[in-house]
Amino acid sequence: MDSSVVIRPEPGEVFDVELEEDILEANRKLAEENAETLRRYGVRSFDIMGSVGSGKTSLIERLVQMLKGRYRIAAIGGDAATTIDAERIGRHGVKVLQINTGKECHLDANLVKKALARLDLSSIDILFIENVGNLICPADFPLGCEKRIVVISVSEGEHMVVKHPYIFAGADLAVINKIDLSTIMGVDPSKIERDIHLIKPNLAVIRTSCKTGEGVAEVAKALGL
Amino acid sequence: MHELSVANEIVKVVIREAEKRGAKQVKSVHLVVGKLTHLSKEQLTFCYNLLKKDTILKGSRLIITEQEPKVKCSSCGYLGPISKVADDELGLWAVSLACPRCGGPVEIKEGLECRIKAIRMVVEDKN
Repeated sequence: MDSSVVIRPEPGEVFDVELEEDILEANRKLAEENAETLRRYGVRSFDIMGSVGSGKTSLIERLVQMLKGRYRIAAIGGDAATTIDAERIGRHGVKVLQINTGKECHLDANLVKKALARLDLSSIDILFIENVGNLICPADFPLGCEKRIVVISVSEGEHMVVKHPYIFAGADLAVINKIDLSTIMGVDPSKIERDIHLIKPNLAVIRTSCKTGEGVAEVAKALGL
Repeated sequence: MHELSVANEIVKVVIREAEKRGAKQVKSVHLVVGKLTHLSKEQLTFCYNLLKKDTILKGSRLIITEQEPKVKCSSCGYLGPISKVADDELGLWAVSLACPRCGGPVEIKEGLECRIKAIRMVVEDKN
């Protein structure tokens, strides 16, 4: 704010300053900048969110295997520690960057902005960003990706959706993974799908097994790839 | 858990505003938090109280007002409270982005904010 427009009270006076400054808005603005950067280079970008162990890395691996002949792909992996996931994705011969968040429970637009600066965006068609395994915090922190995808697996039980509605409310696609385990787990994927549509009626839902590859082609199609 | 980093941002903004006005003390900070964020009032207050020590915010109070969600439907024009779904069997409830009037998808207008609305401060006595 220009200091000439600040009203200065008398010394010793109690003064109320109206501010209207949004703390989360700072992240949303940075996310918008990331989106603009990615658009400028024509990079299609996808934020993959989900619980620990839901199959985010496996889904990215499957998509990379399927699409790497047609597109130039890069991935950014977010984890509290280690480069295990980056190495898994990197084995498929695509450029991978790992962001270690340390103690933070989600990626934010600023971390992604730093990662984007280290990628040669002119040589990339598709960017997958794997968020930290968490169904809560990433919901408050958009990264600037074209689409946000939530991966949920039947092994997490039937009630994950209603327990974590906001992440689904902010998503563009929901993937129900490990569909091959639904009988063993005694979990009905239709129930999960019904819950998703209670929260967000128009959200596209695709059932996959990243183990067998079932449904992965539909995910690619839903993402316009 | 990102209350600590959010509280840290709040303290930074308040210090910046207080310094700009030559304040010697901050009395209170008024924050509006949307109910659709995952920010917890208790944890924000806890982190704020940790961070305010040894700053101009020492002795100040964080006052949080929760903002009810408001949604807009592009198909029927509904503008108002978000609808909620309940699972009686489990005793759970959640918000729904289905329009309470026509069932179509709605857009969130309010409920995602974490806004510093006002800061009450005491300005330096020049004597």
